[in-house]
Formats: sequence, C-alpha cells, structure tokens
Amino acid sequence: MDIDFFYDRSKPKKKEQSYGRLAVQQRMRLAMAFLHPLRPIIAESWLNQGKGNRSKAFGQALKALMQEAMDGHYPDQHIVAERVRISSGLLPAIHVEDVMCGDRVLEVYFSDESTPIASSTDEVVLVVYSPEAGVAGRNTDVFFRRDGHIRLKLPAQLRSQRFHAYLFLHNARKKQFSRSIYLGQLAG
Amino acid sequence: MGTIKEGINGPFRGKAGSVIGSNWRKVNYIKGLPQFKNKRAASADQLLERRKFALLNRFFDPISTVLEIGFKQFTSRATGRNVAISYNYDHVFLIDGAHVTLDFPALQFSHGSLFTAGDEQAQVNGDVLYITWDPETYGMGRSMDDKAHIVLYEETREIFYSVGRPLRHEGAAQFMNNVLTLRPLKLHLWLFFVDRAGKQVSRTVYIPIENPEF
Repeated sequence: MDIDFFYDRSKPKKKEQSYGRLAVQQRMRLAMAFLHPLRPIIAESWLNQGKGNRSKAFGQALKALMQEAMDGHYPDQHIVAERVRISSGLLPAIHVEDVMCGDRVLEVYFSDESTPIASSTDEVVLVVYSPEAGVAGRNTDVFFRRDGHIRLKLPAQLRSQRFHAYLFLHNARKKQFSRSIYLGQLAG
Repeated sequence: MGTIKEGINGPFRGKAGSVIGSNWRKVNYIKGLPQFKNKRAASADQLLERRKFALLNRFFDPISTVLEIGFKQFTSRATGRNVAISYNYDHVFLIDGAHVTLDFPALQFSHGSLFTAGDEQAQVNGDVLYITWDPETYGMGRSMDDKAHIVLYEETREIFYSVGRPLRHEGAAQFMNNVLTLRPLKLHLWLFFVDRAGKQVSRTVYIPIENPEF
C-alpha cells in the first residue's frame, strides 16, 4: 500500500531506534494514513466507544485497527482492509446478497432477519474508499433497512481504480450503530 | 502552569561579542560571524544541488502567497515557501547530466486531507481556457463552498496567471487572455481546494491541457 504522508526530514535521528519502536511507529503511521480520510464517518460511528468525544472515538478506531487489522512484520507491515472496522456497535447487521459494481454506480442488495433490537427505519450507510487515492465517498440519499437495497454514485477518482467498500447501519437518532461489513475490493 | 524552555533566562537574545541571538517563528537562532571562507571550488554534486535549490526557489517566488495557503498547517515554524521546497525537493527534478529542469506534473502546492474533485479537465479554445471538475461532494471530505485555487503557468515566458477563486459546486472556471493565442505556448495548470474556514486543504492535482495546436 503506497500512502504518502508529510513528515519532517529536517530532524535527523541521531540514535538508531530499536526494532520494536520502529515497528510500532510504522503501525501507527499506516493506521493513521488509512483512517484519516474516514474521520467524518468514524467520528459518528465510533462515538459510543469514545464516550461522546469525537477525538476519543477516532482513537478507539485506531486502536482497534492496530490490534486487529495489521499483518506482517516490520518493515513489511500492511493493513488488511477486510478486518478494518469503520463502525462498531451492537445493532444487528444485515445479510448482503449481491454487490453490483457498475461504471459509475455501486449497488448492494441485502436481506434482514427481524430482531427486537433492529428497526425497519434503521438507516444503511455504504462507504467506498481508496487509501491509495486518499478519496472516499458515501451514499448521499437515505436508504433504510426495509428497502433491501442501497445505491451509491462513485466519486470520479474511484471510477478507474480499485477501492474498498464497507456497509453499516445506524438507528434514526444515530445513537446505535452496527459493526461494519466489508464488501470486498471492487473496481469501478 | 507553564514549562520553562532553554533555562531560567529563556533563549539567548541580543548580542554578545560576535554572536547574535534571535527568535523567528518560535525558533531560536544563534548567528555568528563566519570563521573562515571556503576557497575550495564546489564539487559537481554541490553545484547540482545549488542549481536545484535555485531553480525551485525562483519558481516558487511569485506564488509564495498561494504556498502560504496550501501549506498553512505546517507554517508555524517555517514559511509556506520553505515547506513547499522541503516537500517538493525530493521528487520534482528531471536531471540530465548537469542540466536540471522541473517535472511540472509532480509539483505540489498544497498538502491536506480535503478530497480533490476528480474528473479535472482543461481545454484551450481561442483565447479562452476552460477548466472543469466534478462538482459533487459524495457525502464526505468535501463541501460545496470549498474554494478552488487554480495556478496557471506559462513555461516559455515564465509567467504565472491568476484564474480566480471559483467554488467547488460551480464545477468550472474560465481564463481569458491574449497569451493563449501566442505560439509557442507551454501551459501548466494545477488545482487544489481550500475549505471555507481556510484550515483544510486538498492535495494539488496537475491538469493536462488538451490542445494539439501547442
């Protein structure tokens, strides 16, 4: 994964750092670079874990990513997008039946089992994201659990390259969220 | 409660003998008179580095205000131009022996987390340059009222032109000037966005200009 980030080259490191420290620093850099463009989403979807604080919410998401979604050993550590949780919570998720990726539009069909916690008015959120391009997008129209279908217009930058797609739900008051579902790496 | 930096008297300021202490953008400096003058001729590598530095410094000189905006979040201890040189120095030169030129598509005038527009296109028709981009926001990372900063450079005459500050949702901009009818013409165009508060910026996108007549 090639993600560029700003760093200060003017401060040479005098002492060679330990393997463990370098590994943790690389993990942190990779995790920050991956999650940073998704901040607006994470600020809402992890808010419960962050005890109502947007900054803490991002910290919790970062911690989860570093613990669960990192693979490999330094200096070849990388993020496994499939294991990244862009939302977390107890709201029941849905069963994805079909993912159709067209030239400009991504459509997802899903089914649902009725449970006491789930409501038909729970809103579904579909997120597409390319860490290489540093660009993400989400559905701008509102889709509900009862619709069984969600549609998203792909951002221009993602129409010609591969991107990750995630889906999650939240209730009408955005107080409860489901755990995100990874839909795979798709190509526009 | 605060922390005392640089001892109880603070950083050294003023003059003591041939040494002068000063402070600039929260950076403490001690400047002294040169002890000796190097009479040895510069090596080929040193000359190359000096040419690279001079070329980039001269190129950024007329657009320092743009760079202050594009690198604003890094300018607490440096100027926008300092940061731009540091950011671009590694990857914007095309070196052919002792000859150094700029790789214009690789230049960056900004760095930030705001999303770029995508689908950027530019076309010259007569004395008008038409620039378009995708005006939609796709729900995150962009706003309708983000300001577009467009930098246009004519390489043959070494002149920068101002193209105005349209908003993202307008999705287009026009630049009318007689210079577009002159030949030869080597135009380079870059676009980046800044949010309404001026705090968040996007990366810079190089837009190739479609016109076979150049």
